[in-house]
Amino acid sequence: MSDYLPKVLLLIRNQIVKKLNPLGAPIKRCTKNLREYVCSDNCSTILYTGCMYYTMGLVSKFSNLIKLLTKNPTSERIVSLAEKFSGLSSLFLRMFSNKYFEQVPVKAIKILQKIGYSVSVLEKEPYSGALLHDLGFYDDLIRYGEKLRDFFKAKKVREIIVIDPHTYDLFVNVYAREIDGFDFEIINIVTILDEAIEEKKLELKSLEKIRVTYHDPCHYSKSLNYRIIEEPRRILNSIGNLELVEPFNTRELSICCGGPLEFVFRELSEEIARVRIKELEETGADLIVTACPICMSIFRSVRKNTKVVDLLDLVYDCLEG
Amino acid sequence: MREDVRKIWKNYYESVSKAMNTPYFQVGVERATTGYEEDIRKLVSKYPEFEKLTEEVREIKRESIERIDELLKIAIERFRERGFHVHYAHDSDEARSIIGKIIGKGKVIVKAKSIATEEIGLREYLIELGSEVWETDLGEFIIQLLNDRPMHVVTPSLHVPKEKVAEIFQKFFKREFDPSDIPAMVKAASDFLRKKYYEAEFGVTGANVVAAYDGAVVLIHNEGNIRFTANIPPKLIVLAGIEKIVPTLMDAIKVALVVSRYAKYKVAGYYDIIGGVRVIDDNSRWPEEAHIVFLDNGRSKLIRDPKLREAAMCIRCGACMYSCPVFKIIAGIFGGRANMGGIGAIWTYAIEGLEKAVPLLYTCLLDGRCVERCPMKINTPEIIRELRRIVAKK
Repeated sequence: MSDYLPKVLLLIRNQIVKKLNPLGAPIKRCTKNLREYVCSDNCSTILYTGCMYYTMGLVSKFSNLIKLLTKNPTSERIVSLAEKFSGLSSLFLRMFSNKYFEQVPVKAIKILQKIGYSVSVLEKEPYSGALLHDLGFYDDLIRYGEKLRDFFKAKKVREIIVIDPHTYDLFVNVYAREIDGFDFEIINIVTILDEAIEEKKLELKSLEKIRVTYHDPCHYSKSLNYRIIEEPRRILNSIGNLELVEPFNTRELSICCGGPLEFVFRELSEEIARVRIKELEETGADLIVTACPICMSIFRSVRKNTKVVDLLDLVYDCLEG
Repeated sequence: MREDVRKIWKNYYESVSKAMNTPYFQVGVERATTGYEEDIRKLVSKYPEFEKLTEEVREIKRESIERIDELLKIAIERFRERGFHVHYAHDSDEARSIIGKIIGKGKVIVKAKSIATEEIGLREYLIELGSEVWETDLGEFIIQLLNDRPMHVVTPSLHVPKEKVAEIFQKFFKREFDPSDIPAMVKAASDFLRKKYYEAEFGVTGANVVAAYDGAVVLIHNEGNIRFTANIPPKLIVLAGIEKIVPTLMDAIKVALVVSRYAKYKVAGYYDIIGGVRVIDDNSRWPEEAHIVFLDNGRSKLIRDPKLREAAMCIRCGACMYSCPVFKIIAGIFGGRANMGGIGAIWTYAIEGLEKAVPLLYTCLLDGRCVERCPMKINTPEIIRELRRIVAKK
């Protein structure tokens, strides 16, 4: 294990490798609100959350505790303490949930059903592995990707609908290239919704007049390939009674939420989020919409006056009929 | 964590916290980075045809980096033909000692702003040897008086707002300055430095671009100071990173235009070409002595590694730094001694070693906004991921 890295990063790596979740949360909880959609062995088309909404919901809930762990990358005593109890994390975390985050995948499935998709979810959802990629644990990443591939294959998965940018970017830009046989059809939910609107299968209207601004997640707006920039805007613009206003820095030049730094330099990470939130609030929007649970988590902890919601949440609320 | 590496993390974390809690720093950085966002947008919309030149320069740089060994040989030969003494330094120590020997002790030296001299700590070294050294770029002059390190490659004192400059000048010039009267402060510095050009025996400059076939150096500046630095003192020393070499002078001029445009100038105030020593007769030449020192200092290490090589294409326009969300808060604290931002983390690895670079590599958000702004389209996040893979195995 690296002698050069803060202990907290090694702890995260260990949790992913050993427990298939960055927090060591039980992977059965990832889809606990989706029990009725669980498939047993033939799961040809699945909605895969990568456990992102559940996990980031917990991160958001425990932001004060995490702040303690990550405030200073060189103070390791408290991380060592956390490590001692990490064996118990799955028991401990089982007792908590974050309603706002966890209802997003439920709404996603309901929207998909509305436009004629029949999808199921896995009973247990391993994390995507994105942090192994970001933190530099390359060998672990490759082994993890292979494990995930086998996990999907065992369930006869062919199509995977993903609903967050980090999982999407990793699957289409990294695993597809680096993991042999990672040949699943990866479909992004934002693209599905955009096409459904184009084909008039999905009509959306806000009950009251509303002005929203959209925060581009970096892994949609600045990724290597398969960028998703105009799709969310077309979706938002299709919503009746809704006006979309752009922040000063937008699309491929949007400013990062700061989230990726929260495990190493928490204060810096929050300050970056504040700068971005300020810019988003300056648009005069009633609502800040994003499409990434990491952005949502950090924004919700630093926001001042304007509510931050997930695109899928807003779309669900604007379903007609 | 290994003890020496822990210390590096610790010092870094402390300077991050300090920057975040220094009000004048925050004011300066915010003004500079928001100002950049507005200016660069205006320029891009006003000169859309500029993209074509940028593409051309990208190819020039790509080709030059691939041919570096050959171009360096040609440059050495041609600069000799143009009357320069040519030196080659493998690392900082060697570069300092070469320049130290040329200059000797107890001299007056005027300096242009230069990332390469910053990288080897030249000003501090020459002062240690007992010389009087003056930075002639206003921003760098402020840094010198503040005893700080540069926070950006083009605007080194961007973290020092005018209010703080007035304070520093008051101390140095021993008279009152009104922070809103910027021209008065500029004049004070310029009056002071104008005398120094004539007192100086040596002028030291960096090189924005080097033309191998022509044996010429291209320099960009906004204050006219480099003209004086390179021409008034009788002896000239140029320190040039080897990655600055391109084939022809025409290539070099194109690169210089792209550098200044992405540094947010429509055109820079001045572009100078130093094409060699002017020989009047056998005993009379100007400058009396001209030296060029080519500096490796980790550059070959970058260039030889196909996964890192792209980083050597950097032309130091600083666009990525202004654009980086981390930089917008802590500026060049996110950086090594001479290079900042994500690209700076990579260069710090090359110049100062992996250990020094570790916390910087893990400060990058991997968001990729820098790639959007970079005229060379250097994929900094990918290179940082590559270096993180080395760190994770340590």
